[in-house]
Amino acid sequence: MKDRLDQLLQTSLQDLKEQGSSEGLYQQKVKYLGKTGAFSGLMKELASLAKEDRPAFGQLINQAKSEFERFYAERESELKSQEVQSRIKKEALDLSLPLGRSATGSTHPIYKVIDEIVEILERIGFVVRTGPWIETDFYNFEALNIPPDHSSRDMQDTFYFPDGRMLRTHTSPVQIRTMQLEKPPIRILSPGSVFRRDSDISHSPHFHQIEGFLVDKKVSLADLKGNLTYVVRNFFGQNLKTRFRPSYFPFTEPSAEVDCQCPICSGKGCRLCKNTGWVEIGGSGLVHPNVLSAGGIDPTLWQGFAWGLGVERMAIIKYGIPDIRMFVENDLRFLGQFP
Amino acid sequence: MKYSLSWIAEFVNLGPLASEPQKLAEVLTNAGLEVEAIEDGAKRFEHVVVGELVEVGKHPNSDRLTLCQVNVGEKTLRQIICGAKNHKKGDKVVAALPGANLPGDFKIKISKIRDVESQGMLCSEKELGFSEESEGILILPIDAPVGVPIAKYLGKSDVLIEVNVTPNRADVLSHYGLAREIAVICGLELRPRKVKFKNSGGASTKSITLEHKATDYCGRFTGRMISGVKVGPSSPAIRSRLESLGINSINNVVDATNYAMLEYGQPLHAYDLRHLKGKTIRVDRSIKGEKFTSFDKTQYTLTGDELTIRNAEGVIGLAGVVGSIDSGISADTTDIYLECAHFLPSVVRRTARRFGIETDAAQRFAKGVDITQLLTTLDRCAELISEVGGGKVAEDFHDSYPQPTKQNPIHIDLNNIKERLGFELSDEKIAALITKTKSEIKKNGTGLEVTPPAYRQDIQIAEDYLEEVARLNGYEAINETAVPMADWPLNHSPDYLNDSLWIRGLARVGFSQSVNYVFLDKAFNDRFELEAKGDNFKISSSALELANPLSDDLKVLRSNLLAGLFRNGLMNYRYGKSSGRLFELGHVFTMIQEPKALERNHLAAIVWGEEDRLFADKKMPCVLQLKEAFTTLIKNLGAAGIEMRPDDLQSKALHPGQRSGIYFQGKSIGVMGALHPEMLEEFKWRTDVAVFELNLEALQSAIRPLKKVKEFSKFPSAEKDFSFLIPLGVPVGELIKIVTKSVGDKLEELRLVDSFSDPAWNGEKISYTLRATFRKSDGSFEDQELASMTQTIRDAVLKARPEVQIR
Repeated sequence: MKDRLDQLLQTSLQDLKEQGSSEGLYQQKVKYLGKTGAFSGLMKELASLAKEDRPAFGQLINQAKSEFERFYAERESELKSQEVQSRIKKEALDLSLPLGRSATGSTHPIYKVIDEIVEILERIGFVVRTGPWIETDFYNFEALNIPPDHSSRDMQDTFYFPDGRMLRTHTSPVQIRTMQLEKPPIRILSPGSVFRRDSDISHSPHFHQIEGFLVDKKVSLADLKGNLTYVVRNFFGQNLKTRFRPSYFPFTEPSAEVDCQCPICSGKGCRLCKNTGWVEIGGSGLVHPNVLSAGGIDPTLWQGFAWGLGVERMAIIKYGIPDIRMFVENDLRFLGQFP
Repeated sequence: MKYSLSWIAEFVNLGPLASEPQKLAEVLTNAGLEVEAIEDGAKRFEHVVVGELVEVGKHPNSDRLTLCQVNVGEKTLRQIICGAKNHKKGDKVVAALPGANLPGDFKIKISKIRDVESQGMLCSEKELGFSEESEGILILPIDAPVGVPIAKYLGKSDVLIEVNVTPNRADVLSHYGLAREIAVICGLELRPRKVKFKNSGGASTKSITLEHKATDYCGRFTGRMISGVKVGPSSPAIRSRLESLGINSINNVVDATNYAMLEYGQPLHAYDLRHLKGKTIRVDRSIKGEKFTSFDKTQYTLTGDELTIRNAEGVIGLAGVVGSIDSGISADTTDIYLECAHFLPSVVRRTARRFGIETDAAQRFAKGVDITQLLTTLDRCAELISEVGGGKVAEDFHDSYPQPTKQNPIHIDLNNIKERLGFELSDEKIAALITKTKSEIKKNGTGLEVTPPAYRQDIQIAEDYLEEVARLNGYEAINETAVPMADWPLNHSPDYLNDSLWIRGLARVGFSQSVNYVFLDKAFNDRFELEAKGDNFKISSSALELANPLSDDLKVLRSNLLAGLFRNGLMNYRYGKSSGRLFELGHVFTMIQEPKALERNHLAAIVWGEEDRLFADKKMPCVLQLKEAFTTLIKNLGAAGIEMRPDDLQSKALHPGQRSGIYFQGKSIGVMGALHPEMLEEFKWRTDVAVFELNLEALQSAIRPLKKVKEFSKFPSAEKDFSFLIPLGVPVGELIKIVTKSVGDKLEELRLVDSFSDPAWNGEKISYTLRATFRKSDGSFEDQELASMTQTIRDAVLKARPEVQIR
């Protein structure tokens, strides 16, 4: 019986040795160590031995079994490791593979600029208000202190509809609409499309403005300038200065054109600023009393400021966009640069 | 407006500023008169002088070139090579010497031409910027003095400045006006001119009857006779000034009116006395329906709202806008009636706009001329005519001014001014600055009563003085204060928030945002016209038209966003983008019923081609790519209530077999589909293209902020596959709805895991396998319970759609 046991151990170890996969190895384990396996069979035969021989022989079988298991574990780890190695080899991938084009989305620079300015001003309580693109004479002109047949209407060449309404020439009608609905103090931003009947290399008939409008008890030119400097510094991320130049807008008095130090050259002079060190970014002023009245707000109790920036202009300055036509060509090679 | 600096200097002693136009420009710009350009005639032609061709020989190495020895007033002659053919020895020419910078930034330097040195260039009119084209070089009169700078010789050494005058400052639109403003800004003395007629006497102005009606439209009318005028060319001085400012010289009379206009800002009109039939000049409204023929033979039918100038027989001019065919001056005119009047700006503007007439005079009247200065201008013009045309100026004149304008005093609260200025200023300084504007000041308690000068019609309220004080003190003094934090919650308007969420959402699923003009060609717009039943989505066939479009192909406003996106996609495709994704968000317009127009906020997207996928075994049709992206988008946004199902949409643009309606809470709000193969064929677009467009306003309530998280079950789920064999025409979406409804909230997820179509079915049916995931909040499932749910689902599906087989 001892011979048979030795024989069995030899054969079983040989079988384990011959297996090339962990799966086959496992089958051998089931075959030899399972309930109906060869070692179990020998165990069952113990009953036929003399009582005093049983413990010693049982011990021998168990030794053989542990020998088998030890060899199995060794062999298993060997095979598993081989298998992982071969899997690694088989699964090798070249990650420098160019995986074709997958669509990457982007926000249009016009909307990106609007978002950036909104984010800067919402921190100090400015909220966005919107309005229709088709406006009436009242909201687009009269309420903004631009009476009918007044020469200041020529400042903005207008697209009209046959019924006398028009495409808004600025976002300022939103000032009036807001004042009619909300009580002061007011701090609003009105971004969006505006339209002027003008089309050449530097003018497009459909462009975008963002306007800031504030009404409070006391509002000075210093408040206006401080607010614009705050916008400029945060938008361009540089410690730039702003400059006012006297100007005229029917809806503000006093009025000022706003320049900021050229962010490209930090005011040293370059092509963008035509070597002046300054770039024009928009118009501004203290709200004309007639405008407050038109919005239903008493100008003897409330004062305000308003400014308007050209969104395309801001984008051109910030991103060095060379041609305004790029804004509406919608070439993915352009759009894709604004993730 | 363009101004001549030498002319301005006739009214104000500019001192050192006269030789420093840059500095003057800065002063003006800082005071609100933005200088847009400076043309320094002398600078423009520095190192360009009159030269004499002492010798003209052949270039040793060229047959076409000449080698000239030129006397430019220097000790030695200059050797200059010239390619022209029209010059000969002894000619006086224009020589540009090294250092000169000709128009077009053409710098002259010593150079070698075919191995021979050339020390300058002989110039043509074109090279000097005098004309667009010219043949040969400019040959000057033989008496031109050698060595004299060309600017000086040609009288082009004046400095011209171009100022952008804002519409409120019509008082500055003249040389006298700008001089007056410079005097105010710089604290200089203004020197008004004293008029002296060369010849006076002659016929009395009173021989003409002035009938001044419609005084609401014409506040003041002045006129003066000049007799015995000899019409002829103007003096060189007048011609040169007019021409340098862009006005063509006509004759001495017309030139005098233009000259006086540029000097005082006031347009004038000279009538040939022979045309004042009945020796009458009448100022009155037009009669509705009467005809008027302008000098350029255009006939206008008048409305009754125009102000007309008439003789005893009829209309001879639309006041301030245009004269009649025979109201002007001809070569044989001898007696003149000179008119200088004030016409109501709004009437002039209305008339000019009504008939589409744009004249310099009309623009000036529309901005408002200085009513107090009419006589000065009239007399200045008469002086010029008598000086150059030799006429006798009548001793008397007409001046009908029924209600002289008066400036009303404005109350100024000094504290208010100080608070709003943004910088510190004393009461005395404020008063001094106001005095500078030539306003009259009276003290009144804590404030001032201030009366502006007559020419400052733009000063109406205290805020106008606030601007004057700030401006004359200098805007650079304005300080900066920070707007303090607000104590209210941020409540942006819902449409802005909604727009932002969709824009970010679409960018996140791989779409790039387009922006297109709202204007386009009607026919192209209408190709993408979609008509769907339902309240919230209808793109009507009648696009909204502009009354004054930029051009015929930009006449309508878009009624959809797809037309623009189609163009953008096609352009990118043609540039080599074989696949791409674009979206646009913006307003669209439709005419509902004249004149009621509808303006709505839409969202549209386009997908074309296929992204390269290395390991994908099957091509995914474009429209399904779009649907996949749209579904992800909706999930990312947390939008609920949106579904896609067939509708009775009519569209020429979409593929009949690949389209669907988009619904929100049961209402049609948009469409999705592949573009029609015929359309793609027409534009040679060789990829699949799919689009959607929807009404974003209707979706405003779809995205709701998360209020409270949902708790979820801790028990394991159970899965069960259902295979449906579906005949063509039964939408899977409907089956999903039925399944979902039949088992309620125990169904956690239902997803498509397989599809199969046997070729033998001829495309008439298709099998879909849906995997249901069930889960309960209070325990796991018993086999029996699962079986019963399976049965419930089968029963529900078969009841609604008996033609479906379930396996």
